[in-house]
Amino acid sequence: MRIAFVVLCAVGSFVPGLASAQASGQILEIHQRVFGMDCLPCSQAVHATISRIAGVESVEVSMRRGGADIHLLPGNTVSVAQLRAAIRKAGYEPKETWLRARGEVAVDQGALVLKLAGQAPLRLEASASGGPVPCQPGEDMLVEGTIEAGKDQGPILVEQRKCSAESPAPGQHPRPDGGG
Amino acid sequence: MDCIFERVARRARHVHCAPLAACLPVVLLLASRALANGHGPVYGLATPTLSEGGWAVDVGAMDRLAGTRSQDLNLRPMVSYGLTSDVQLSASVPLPLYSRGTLDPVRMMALMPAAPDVEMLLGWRFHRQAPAVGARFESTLYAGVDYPVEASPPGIAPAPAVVGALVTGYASRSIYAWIGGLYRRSLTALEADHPGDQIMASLVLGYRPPFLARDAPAADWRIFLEGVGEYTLGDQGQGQLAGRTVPNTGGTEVLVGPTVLGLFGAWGISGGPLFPVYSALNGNQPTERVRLALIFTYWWF
Repeated sequence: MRIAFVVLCAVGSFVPGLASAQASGQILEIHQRVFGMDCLPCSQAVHATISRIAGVESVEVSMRRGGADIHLLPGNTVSVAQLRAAIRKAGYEPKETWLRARGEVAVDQGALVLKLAGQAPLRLEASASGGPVPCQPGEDMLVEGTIEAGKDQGPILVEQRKCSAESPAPGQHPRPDGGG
Repeated sequence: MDCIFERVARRARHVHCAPLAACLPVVLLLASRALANGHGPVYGLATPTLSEGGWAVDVGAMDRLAGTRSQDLNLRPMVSYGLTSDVQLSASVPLPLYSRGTLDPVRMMALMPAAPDVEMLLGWRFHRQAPAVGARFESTLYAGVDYPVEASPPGIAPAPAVVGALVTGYASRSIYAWIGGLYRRSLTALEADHPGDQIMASLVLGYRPPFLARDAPAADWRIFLEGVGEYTLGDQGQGQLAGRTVPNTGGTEVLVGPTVLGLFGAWGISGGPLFPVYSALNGNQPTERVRLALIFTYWWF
């Protein structure tokens, strides 16, 4: 029995789908820029579609700033692609995504990735503006970074990161739109 | 002098609209459960805004005055559903409250006919582009069918019709502009009895001052300047009765007026007057002095 369990775990670590299911990493917070919202009903439509995603704790959508601030529940499996699809479903155009996420760093096809529960791992790249390099494989990483518009599967351009369980103080790092 | 309720009751009996009238409380009940929606001009064509799976209920009222007298007073509920974020289906039913039968039927609002027709309208936003925060260009094609429940103008046999429209425009957090055209054609032979075909063109300019570009729970207000042109093409644009053109139908009219739209988180209201600035109507038709409309809008996702 014990041998079978070990074999199952070993197989799981080589199968991407099973590997992501086992991952405990998650996105904690997202600021999503949205183009095309010109009215109060527009922001309400975006709010409604995002709120329906399982794992979303709270959403604040601003027509004035053209974006959505999303806080996610612990243990969520929300992906950036899922969020952007919801915004398109509301009729608007998702642009760049700023996110804070926590997960284990691994190597996938020669690239560093962040393993997230219930979804494909997100590739990690140092930001072109001189951000830090990602943590080493096997380390837990708390990362803040941006996913560019049109690249729903990443990579995350790393702006801030910690290679430990300690998180940076809230509000320490400004988001791309300058919002709080 | 008849009281309005007697007129309404007689009218409802005459046009067999009692079942439709009975539907109104249901529509209003649905609306009372809904979140607010509404996002566009009153008379002019614009692009749909419902998200996929979104519902909207509009209840519009329009009165047309010639001299000091009301010529046509109509109420019309409309239900819309977003099949996708770019495809919207709308259905509206007529509740004509009063008509002297002297004016050609027109569009009540861009997406609602004033004629006593049940209308199904499909809108397809075939182009959209969002170049910046709060801004988008988009174009929509509409196609629909009208099924009459009463003769309009009175005495001319009602006929089903098809409606097609094209509109393109720009929306932002401060500036709005839409231009569009609509054509309604009766599905009958030219010599058969039918109301005249209609052509409508509209131009809408909108503005929201920066201090009103606020997020909820603040109200969302904007103002529009709307222009509507109604035009008919020769005999085809005039009613036909017993193989002859009805003289007091058809013509050209251009109307302009200011309208306002207010959204209050859970509901919306819009309305305003249109004044004729050019009128060349066939025969001996009364000239409209003003057209007034009011729309209540609600929606839920």
